[in-house]
Amino acid sequence: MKLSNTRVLVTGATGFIGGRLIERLILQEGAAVTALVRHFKRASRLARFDVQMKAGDVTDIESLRHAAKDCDYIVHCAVSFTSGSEGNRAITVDGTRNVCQVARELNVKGVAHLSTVSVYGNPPAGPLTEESPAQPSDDYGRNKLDAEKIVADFRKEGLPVTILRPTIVYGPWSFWSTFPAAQLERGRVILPNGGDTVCNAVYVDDVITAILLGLDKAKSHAGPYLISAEKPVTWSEFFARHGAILEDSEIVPRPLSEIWSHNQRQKHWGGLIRAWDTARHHQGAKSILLGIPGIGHSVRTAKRLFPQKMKQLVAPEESAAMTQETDKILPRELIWPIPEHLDVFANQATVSINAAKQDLGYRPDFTFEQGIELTNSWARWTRSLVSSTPND
Amino acid sequence: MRADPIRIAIIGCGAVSELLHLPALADRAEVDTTLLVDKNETRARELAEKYKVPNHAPAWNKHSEEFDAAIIALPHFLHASVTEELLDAGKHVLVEKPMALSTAECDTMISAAAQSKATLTVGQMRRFCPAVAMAKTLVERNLIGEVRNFAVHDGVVFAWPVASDFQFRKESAGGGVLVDAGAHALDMVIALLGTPEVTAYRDDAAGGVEADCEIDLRLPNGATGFVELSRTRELKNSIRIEGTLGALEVFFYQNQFRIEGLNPQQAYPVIAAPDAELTPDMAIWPLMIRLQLADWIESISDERPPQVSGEEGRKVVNLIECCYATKTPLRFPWVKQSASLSQ
Repeated sequence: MKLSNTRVLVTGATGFIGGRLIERLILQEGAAVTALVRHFKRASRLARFDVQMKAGDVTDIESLRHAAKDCDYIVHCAVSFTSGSEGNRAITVDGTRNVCQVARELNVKGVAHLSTVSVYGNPPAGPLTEESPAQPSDDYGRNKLDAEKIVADFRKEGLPVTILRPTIVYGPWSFWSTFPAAQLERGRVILPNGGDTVCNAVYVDDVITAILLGLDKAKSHAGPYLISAEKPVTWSEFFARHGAILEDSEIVPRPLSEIWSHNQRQKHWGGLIRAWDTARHHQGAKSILLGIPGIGHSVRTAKRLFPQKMKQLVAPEESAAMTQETDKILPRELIWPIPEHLDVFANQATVSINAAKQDLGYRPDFTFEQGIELTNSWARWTRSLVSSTPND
Repeated sequence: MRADPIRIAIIGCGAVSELLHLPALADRAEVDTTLLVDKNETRARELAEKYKVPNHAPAWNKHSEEFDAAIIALPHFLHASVTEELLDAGKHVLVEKPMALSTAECDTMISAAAQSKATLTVGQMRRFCPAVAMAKTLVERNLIGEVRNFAVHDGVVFAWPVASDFQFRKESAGGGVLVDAGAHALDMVIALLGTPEVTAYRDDAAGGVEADCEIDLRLPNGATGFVELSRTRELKNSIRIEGTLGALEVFFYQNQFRIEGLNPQQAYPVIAAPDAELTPDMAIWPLMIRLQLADWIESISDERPPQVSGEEGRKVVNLIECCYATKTPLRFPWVKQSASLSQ
């Protein structure tokens, strides 16, 4: 696609996908870029380029109108996970309506709308296609599905817009790349069934390629299109390869049922169990924890209500013996998946990218091997000196 | 010694004034903050109310009689012109780093200071970090012998609460991380080891301002140095200096240093420098700014030169100029560039 004499507005420009998109647009496509910036403090990566940075927010349609002036295309990446339930919904859903509204007013040549595989919720084992039912299981998926519906309505009225549903997007600056490495650094990571499950991962550059194709084909193809790599990997492989930058990393198999029970216990006893887990892995930490007013009070209350159970948990002589024992068996802390990630890690559905291939001409350029090699070269660069502290 | 408090105006009411200068000034009995200046009058009024500053204004000119000295915390491109105007009006000036965008501007500011007899100092506060100051004494007393090489790793993920894009535009900021954190890192090298020359410079800017860069340096005795600066990564935030007799490493955000003998096994434990009551990482900033303000105020009342004179500030700007003049791209394997678009 020729973008060299065009201007592209990017929302979510300070984010991970928006940031890489702008690098590609400028360094490889030769496009002019306008970026809508909500927080300038996050603009360091973006500011490396000759980009028009416009202060604004997708929920503020006037700021969008101002930013979109003179733009030929719009890529809508903006999303929020940290603005509270209502704020996240406003940015994801109302923000999308505003983007479409402005795109229509300005009669832009094309819009690429970034959605997510999360609109499917927890799909059953087997192939997952655009025809599979969208049954989101969390707020993020529900908001994104509602945003897609708004996009589709504008599309019916003639807006040239393509919807893309990327899968697990990894690469430099991705949560899905920093998270596994950070978890493996913290301790031994538990994955359902040892992570012998399906991870539909896609290297960020392949998503950018799909976005560029989406812009090009926005007039003729609405989507939605699933965007992933040619082949999935297992979650165990995904974690293990991200952990390759560490000296030591370990994945521990546990049946899904056991993790589920653990999460139920966490739900009811979370604070206490976490405190105990911390205490038994750190010499002296238990007495400190019990000294903290809130925790001490909780333990005392629990002792009164459940004397037997708590005696077992906190009796000093037993706890010392237990610590020694667990230190032998558990040299490093066990990291359990949080409930929000459990279904993701237990996934057995395999994404098909046939529709994107056929309609958009999408061909992933990166195997997992190639993507992870670049990701880890970045990870080593970012982490090269962090582990060395004054106290080492 | 003067008996009356020195009356201070703050020109520019951005985050640095609110978070660092105003609290530091509020602690000192020998100064009165009398005027806040910002073209955004609402902002100036809010801060004036919060810190009980008697007056505020969109420009200082009509309030010249209300202050003796001024702190300039404006976008970098305004440092030179506003400093010159204030010095010409006989006001003492503390101008935030970088002193200016070019050595030519620095020269004009230095001449203005010489003619006015007012005190000009530059906000290069890292050399006031007690651990850095102590390391300087130890290096000067030959603790580690002759310096052979040094390395600075200076990086925090940029999170300064900026309200506009001035920090991110070449024309207003003069550059990216090099003129920002880099001004502190280079001044620290100058304070500890003398003025180096730039042998190579690489950064990741392509039409904008750099977020990451690397500088190769050489000291007059031939010792080599490496400086790595980042707005995207948490780095070690230290300077390590190796000499013929041992090594010294200063962790400037923690106000700590470590000394090693020739045999690596002979490392002494990490030592916290005096005044280290502020140990959490970034809490060192209020301490450094208090120490630099004290130096400036004393230099005004005692009529002596400040520790960071205009000439010292100019050395940093000169190194920054040399870096940009020798720039080559800092390339990453995960960021490819079309051959046709290569700069």
